[in-house]
Amino acid sequence: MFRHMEREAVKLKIRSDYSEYTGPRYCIQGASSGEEFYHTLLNASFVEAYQKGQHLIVDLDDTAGYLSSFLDEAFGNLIFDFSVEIVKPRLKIISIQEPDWETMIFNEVYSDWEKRRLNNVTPKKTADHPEWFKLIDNQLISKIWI
Amino acid sequence: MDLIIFPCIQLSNAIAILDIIITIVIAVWIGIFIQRNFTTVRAVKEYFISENQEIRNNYNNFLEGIYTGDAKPSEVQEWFKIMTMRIDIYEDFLKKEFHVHPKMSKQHNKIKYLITGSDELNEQYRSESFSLLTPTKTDLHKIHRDFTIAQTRLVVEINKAKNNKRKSAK
Repeated sequence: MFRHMEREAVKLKIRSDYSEYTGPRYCIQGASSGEEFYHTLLNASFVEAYQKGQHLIVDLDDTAGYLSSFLDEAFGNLIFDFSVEIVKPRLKIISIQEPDWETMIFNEVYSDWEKRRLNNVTPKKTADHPEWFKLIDNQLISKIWI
Repeated sequence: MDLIIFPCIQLSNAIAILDIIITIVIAVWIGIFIQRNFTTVRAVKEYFISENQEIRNNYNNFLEGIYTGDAKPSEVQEWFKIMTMRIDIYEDFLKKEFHVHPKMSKQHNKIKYLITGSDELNEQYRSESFSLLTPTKTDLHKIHRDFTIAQTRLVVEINKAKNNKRKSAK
């Protein structure tokens, strides 16, 4: 895993840090899923940026494309665990090749998953995951939540 | 007494000669400049229209595989990525070149989200091919129709459009 540190941001490039060929929504459905990406990389990277008071920049370009469900599950879980209020000012998306993904994440995923968070509709987990972080009352707590 | 312009040309003849000269100048101007611009604009329009047709053919072939359940799940996202870039570039150039308002990418994105977000594709992701359930197909038919309408409208708009560069050069 290569997370490139710069002065004001933690950078995550999906092609080089995760996979060129991303998969479906859930771990049970196929390799390199959105669920897996969230638990192996996105959650920890966001926490690192949050603790350092930096942005997390996620670069979606140069892969073989995405299923919208991969992005929905990965970034949706981030909203569920940290809230739109915390994620929105700290997360930047680079998607020059398919700019509509950025729009979809910011417009649809954010609002859908914030509603889920407020209604406590827990995300489905289809594999065992090690402890991951959630922000509860402004405190980062790590455990196996589901 | 007739006004003498040249020693041997009367005013009426001078007007006739001037009329001929103006007619020739206008004819040359039309022939050289207007026709050249028209031909150039027409060629550019033909290019955009043929690219539109190419996208339509490519799209129809792809969706035929989706409808019949022959499409490979692993190839769907790359196809959508390539098509997204193609349509985005096409529309960007078209907007710069002509006063048109293409809506293909909007419909294309709806199709992309519907298929790549479907439970059917995700659940059959490891399979050699996947098939959509009837409710998803029904939604796809509707957006596919809207996409085709957007493409057809665009051809009409291109044909009616004036060239941006010629307008801004005036």
